[in-house]
Formats: sequence, structure tokens, C-alpha cells
Amino acid sequence: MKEDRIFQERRARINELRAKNERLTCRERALMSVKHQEPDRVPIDNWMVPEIQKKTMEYFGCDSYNELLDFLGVDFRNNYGPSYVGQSFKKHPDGTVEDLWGVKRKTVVYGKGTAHQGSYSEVAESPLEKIQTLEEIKKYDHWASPEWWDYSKVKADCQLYHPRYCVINVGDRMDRTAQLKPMMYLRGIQQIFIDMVMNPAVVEFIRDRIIEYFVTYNHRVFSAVEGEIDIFMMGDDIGGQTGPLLSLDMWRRYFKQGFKTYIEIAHTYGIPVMYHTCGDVRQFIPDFIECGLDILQSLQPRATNMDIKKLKEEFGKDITFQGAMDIQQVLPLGKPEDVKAMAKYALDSAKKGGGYIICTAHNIQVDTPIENVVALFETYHEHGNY
Amino acid sequence: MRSIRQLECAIVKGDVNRATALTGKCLREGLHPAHIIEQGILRAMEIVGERWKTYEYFLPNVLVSAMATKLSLGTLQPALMRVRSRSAGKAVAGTVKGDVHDIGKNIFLMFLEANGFEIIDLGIDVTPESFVKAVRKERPDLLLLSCLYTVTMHSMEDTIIALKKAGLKGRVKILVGGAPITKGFADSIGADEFGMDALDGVKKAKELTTERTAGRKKSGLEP
Repeated sequence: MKEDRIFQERRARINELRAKNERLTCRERALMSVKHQEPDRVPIDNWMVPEIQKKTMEYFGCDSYNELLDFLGVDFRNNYGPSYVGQSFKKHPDGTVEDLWGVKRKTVVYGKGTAHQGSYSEVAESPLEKIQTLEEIKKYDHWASPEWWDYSKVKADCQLYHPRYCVINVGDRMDRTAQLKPMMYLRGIQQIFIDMVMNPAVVEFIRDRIIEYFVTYNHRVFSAVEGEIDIFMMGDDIGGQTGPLLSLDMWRRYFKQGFKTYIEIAHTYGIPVMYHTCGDVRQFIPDFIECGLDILQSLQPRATNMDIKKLKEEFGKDITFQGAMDIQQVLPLGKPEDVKAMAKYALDSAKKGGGYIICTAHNIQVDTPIENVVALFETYHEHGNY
Repeated sequence: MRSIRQLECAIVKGDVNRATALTGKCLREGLHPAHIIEQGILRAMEIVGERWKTYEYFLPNVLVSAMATKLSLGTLQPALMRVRSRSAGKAVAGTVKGDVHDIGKNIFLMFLEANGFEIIDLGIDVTPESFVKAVRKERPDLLLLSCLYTVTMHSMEDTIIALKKAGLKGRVKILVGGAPITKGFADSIGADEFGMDALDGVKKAKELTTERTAGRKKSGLEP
């Protein structure tokens, strides 16, 4: 941590508020909230693209990202699971690299040549997209295997953060426990949605291979960590900006059982489950609760029907919410006072009785002004106390 | 008339094979291709659009209906060529410079094509210069600009500025869309319209094309 006067002054407000509000460790605070009890303040999670991590570290004079998380009062630390020890991923001459499922990936740069340049790893080619029949799909020989991982070090990785922090087993963005997402990668987004109407047997076959993999994989992770994972996170985007991508009936038909199975495995080991989906999923929430889901992430506030106040009133007793900070308009394009108003609204609406973890609805994007990032975290601490 | 109602029904239900077969049947019964499009296909897409708006239909249903429409139009193509029927409009489309996301754009273009538009898709990361070049060459009714990131929204404005500089701004209607785009933003950069989602985009595209045709008639540019 840099101790120059300018950095000390920039850190002063958050330091002062934290000293006033905090009595618990991060882990105690987070787990109390998930159990719907009021801790000392609302737990804070953080999602930022690397470029914003760097910018924020520079602003506050932090020498590492962990130092930044520590200073900002972020209560969660991510565990990315076991180490991959399978065959090396096949590289192609066009620069793409095959992933765990044989899907070709490439790194794509956005905002090229501007001050906001960044990059994401994206799917370049879906191996099952052009295949016409179930018989041909059955011949595909690149399904992921739980044997390709070394599970022996996950426990020690999690222990590094204990007892102070709350450890979330998040997996990797591209390979996080899911059903629909790997299907989209393997079959292509349009095709898998068309299959849901026209080729149910194809959907069920691909889905079952994916579930088989994650069931064994997660059993092995949870048993290897011996209680050192505090929260298990899975993710599958089923919501769009103006409504769900698929109907509730279709979700029940294809995905509800797998969703429930994943939750039950984690619960067998006493681990609460967080589920990430972007978009409007309001009408799915009763089913999520029925399946035993503990935490719903990300409450994208610009999506229809995802106002945190209404969701808290309707479902807040039965499920914990995580998210609700808008990265589509307010953070990149608003003023610090807009950011403050947004964070205060969410805290005022959802903190009562616990069951709320404040965070952005996705990564804070590269074009977000630093004043807005500062306003966000200052408001978390200013209005998050109980 | 019975076959055309059955065609409408097959498209709404997303019965791809039946829709193709019924299109052939309508032609064999001597129905004019333009009549099949207006009374069968476009009516079906309107119903699909309504069901999407009221949350009765979701992406899987709409994609299958769009696919049925596309195949139906494919069956009509040779007959359409013979009668030289006009398309609903011609559009140049692309994801703006700096952005590589095209899932939303591709779904939108599929719907638009299903509604009888002729599409020239320039792909992703399209520079303002490439848009200008395509507008000059293709003389489209519509220019469709898409982006996912707030970071790349400014490229939409750059594209519109480039069109103005090239003297093409009033010659093509500009429709913008994508997750971060709002009506306010669309107005501020001088776009003619903004599409909230794929089907709203189709509605706006139709309105803009109608306006444009009416404008031409008024100005005497077209008989």
C-alpha cells in the first residue's frame, strides 16, 4: 500500500466508515447474511474487468489486487477450483485454441485503438453446430472428463483465505458449472434454441453428457476441500434484457432437474449455492426457491421485472440476492450522484433482515470513470451499515 | 384461401416442413407470390411478434418460426423473380467498429429477412468508412448499426458523422440497437430510430421503410 499523502486522503473516507461499521470478519458477515440474519453491514462482492482493477489500484495506491479488495472491504474471495492436468489444449493455425469440450476459442479485443481497449475470450466455432442427426452427435468424442483435473490442491487454495474471508468456488467464466451455457458453446446459440423446439432428443443427449461431467466433478471438488468452500457458484444465462430467453415450461422440461441436482450435491456437503444469470428471470424465482437455491445473482437492474425493491418484497424471505448495481448505464455513463442514488436505493430496499450481498450486476466495464467506482464503494460503506 | 391460412398457422407453430410444403401448394393453386407473402407469411410473423411481446413466445419459438419463414420465402424465390416483386426494403447492417458481438444482430437480421428485407451484412468490427462505402454502393433503404458494449457506442456516432461528411445522411434511414442503446442515445447521435429488441427492430424497420417510400413518392423521386 502506498503511503503518499494523496493516496491516504483518497482512502480516508472508506477507512473511516469501515472503522465505524465493522465488527465481524468478512466470512462471518457473509454467512450471516446468507442465513437471513443482519450482520454489522451488508456484505460486499466485487466484479471488475482487469483494466478497471488496475485503474482502481492506481487511484487508491494499492500494490496488488488483493490489497485493493482488502481496502475496499470486499468480503468474498474467489476459488477457481482444481488444476487442469489433462492433455494440452489443441492449438489451431488460425490462432484459436480448443477448450475442455473441444470448442474453439479465441481472444477478441474490443474498443481497439481507444482509451478503453480490453479483451474477452469468446467462442470461435461450435463443433456440433453443423451436425444434423443425433446419431452423428453421439459419435462426438470430445466430452470433458472429471479425470482431467488434480483436486489435491483446492483445499489449500481455499484455506489461504480462511478464517477471514468468505470463499466462493466460482470456477472459470467459460467452464463454470452449468447446463445451457456449455450447450450453447457446443451447439451454437441459435441452433440449441431451435433444437429445444425441433430436436428435443439432441438437447437431452448433450445436456445429459454435461450434467454427468459436472456431477462427478463437483462431488470430487467438494469432497477434496473438506469444508473449506463457503459458497458454491454456478451460472447459466437464461434471462434477456426484456424477458426470459426461454419459457418457464421449457426450462422446467429441460433444465429444472439438473439445476436441482447441482444444488442437492452442494447441500450434501453443507455448502450454500449461488446461481448467476443475467437478465429478466423474475418468473423463474419461485422454481429456483423450490429447488433449494440459496443466493440469486446478478439482478440486472435495467432488465424488465428485476427491480430489487419489488423482488425483496416478494421473495426476500426465501432467497438471498446478490447484485443490482447497473453496469449498462449508471456506472459507465452516469454521474457520481447517480451511482450513489442507485446504491442507496438497493441498500435501503434490500438490506433489512439480511439476505442481500451488494455487487455490480456484472463486471464493472472498462469505460467506467474512476469517480463512479469511488462513489460506488463509498456508498456501500456509507449506507450498508445495520 | 384455405392453404394460405394453413401456411400462416404452420409458420406460427414453427412447423418448418409443413410451411415449405404449403408454400408449394399455394403456388400450385395459382396464388400470386406477393399475395402469399402478405396474407400468409407476414401475417404469421405479426402473430409471432405479438406472442413475443406478450411473453407467450420466447426465443426458441420465434427462431423456429423465422426459420420456417426463411424456407418458405426460399420456395417462393423463383416465382418472385418471375413476377419481379419488390422486397420489403434493402438494408446494410453491421456491428460497429471496436465491437465483435453479433449474436443479437444475427437474430435480428434473421427476423428481418423473414419479413422480406434484402440484407447486406458487413459483419463485425465495421469501420465508419466501410459503412459509407457500402451505403454508396448498395443504395439501401436502411442502415442498421449494432453494438453490445457502452465502450463501442461512440462508434455509432462516428459512423453517422462519416455519413454526414460523405453527404449520405439523408439518403438512408438509420436504425440502431444493442443492449446499451436507449432512445435518448439514438436521438442524441442523429439516428432515425432505435430498436428495443429484435422484433421491435423489425417493426421500426418497416415503419422507416414506409416513411421513406412515402417521402420518395411525395418528392416525386419514384412513381
